[in-house]
Amino acid sequence: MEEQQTGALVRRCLAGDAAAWEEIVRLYNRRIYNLCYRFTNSPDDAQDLTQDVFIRVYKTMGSYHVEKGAFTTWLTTLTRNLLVDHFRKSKQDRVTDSIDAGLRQEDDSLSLGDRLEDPRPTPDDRLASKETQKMVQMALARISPDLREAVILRDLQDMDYKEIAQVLRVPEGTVKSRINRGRMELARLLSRNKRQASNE
Amino acid sequence: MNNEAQNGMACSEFEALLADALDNAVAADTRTAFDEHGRNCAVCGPMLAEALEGMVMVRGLAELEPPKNLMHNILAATSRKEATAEQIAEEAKLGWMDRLRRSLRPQVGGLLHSRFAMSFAMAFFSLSITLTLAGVKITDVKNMVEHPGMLRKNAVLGYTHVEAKVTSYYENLRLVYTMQAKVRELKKSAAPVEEPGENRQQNRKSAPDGREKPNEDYSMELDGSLIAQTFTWHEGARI
Repeated sequence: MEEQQTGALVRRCLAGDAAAWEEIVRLYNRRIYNLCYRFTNSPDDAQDLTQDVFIRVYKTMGSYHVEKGAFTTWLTTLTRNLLVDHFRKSKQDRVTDSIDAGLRQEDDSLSLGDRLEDPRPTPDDRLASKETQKMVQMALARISPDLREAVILRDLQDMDYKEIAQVLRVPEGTVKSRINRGRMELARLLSRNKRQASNE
Repeated sequence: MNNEAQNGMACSEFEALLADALDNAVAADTRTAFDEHGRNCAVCGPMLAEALEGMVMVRGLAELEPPKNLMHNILAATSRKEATAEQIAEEAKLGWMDRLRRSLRPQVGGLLHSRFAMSFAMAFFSLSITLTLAGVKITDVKNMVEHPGMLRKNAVLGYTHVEAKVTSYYENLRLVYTMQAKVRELKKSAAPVEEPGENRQQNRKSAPDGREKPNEDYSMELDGSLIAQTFTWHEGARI
């Protein structure tokens, strides 16, 4: 239903309806800004990139066909391509911490379902503070771009594996593997940061 | 990673199911084996815990509010691009004179003030009258401007035309002088020859105050002898 509405908006936009274009920008600017910010970890870069994305969308909207796939997937693919270009241009040298560094021993007595309903302070509670949010964002910025984009698309953009596979142009199995590795790496980085913070 | 089956599930199988398990998208019987393996495997248990923690952490990130001016900037940027495209199409239709006029407009904007405009109008009026009197047609100027290659050709033609006129004028003048000289020669040969002394006497007599009029046509020594005499007529013209 949503895709049909978007398709109609795109058609109106291609016919020269300025209001339709404004509606598309209004609907998707938050999503694209968040995607860019989570990937670049810079509000300024995110703003510039979001603007570039919409300019690109405006220029190439004629190449989008409703029957080929969801508009969101097309838009995310375009954004991802620009993010990759930006990453290459800025030559960010992201240091990814080794996954092999000290596996943590967790309490494994509970099943996954039990753990999700654990009455102890949940990660959500821990994320309440801005400081924690900042730490997670910093950790996200430190993991490798391949893993980061997969995690962002799944956990923040709420895309399904098939769509992510389409955007990243890799098989679904690879997408799942990257998401798992990205999440694990993130947890390790956060754990290490917390240990360092408690030692100081 | 250990690929041996533990609790009815291999570690590779566990890893493959990990993402779906975290989304609660695994069938019930498979889920039991998955949970059992996660509890008992020393590698897969921590892996599950880390993946779960990482997922919760990332999903806990709040959605950010984009800057207030972002949407406005996007719309402004895209509408500017649209305007630019229209402008380019419009400019493509204009002639080069219009484009020149448009480019000059900012520079000469101040000159379009009424007092300057009146001065320019007067100057233009004077210039047009001058050109009209000189025989220059506006269409010629327009042709020259529109076809710059004609400029040189017109200049050469104009020069040749003026040169031919001047040459013709002097040729005619020479013919007139020649004719006049011939007529004078004929007159002179037809007239009776007079004594130079008599002529002098007549000249003296013709002086109104009775004084002897000095002859200005020749130079004389103090004793009255002739040094040189100028020719009065040379091919009909007085020198």
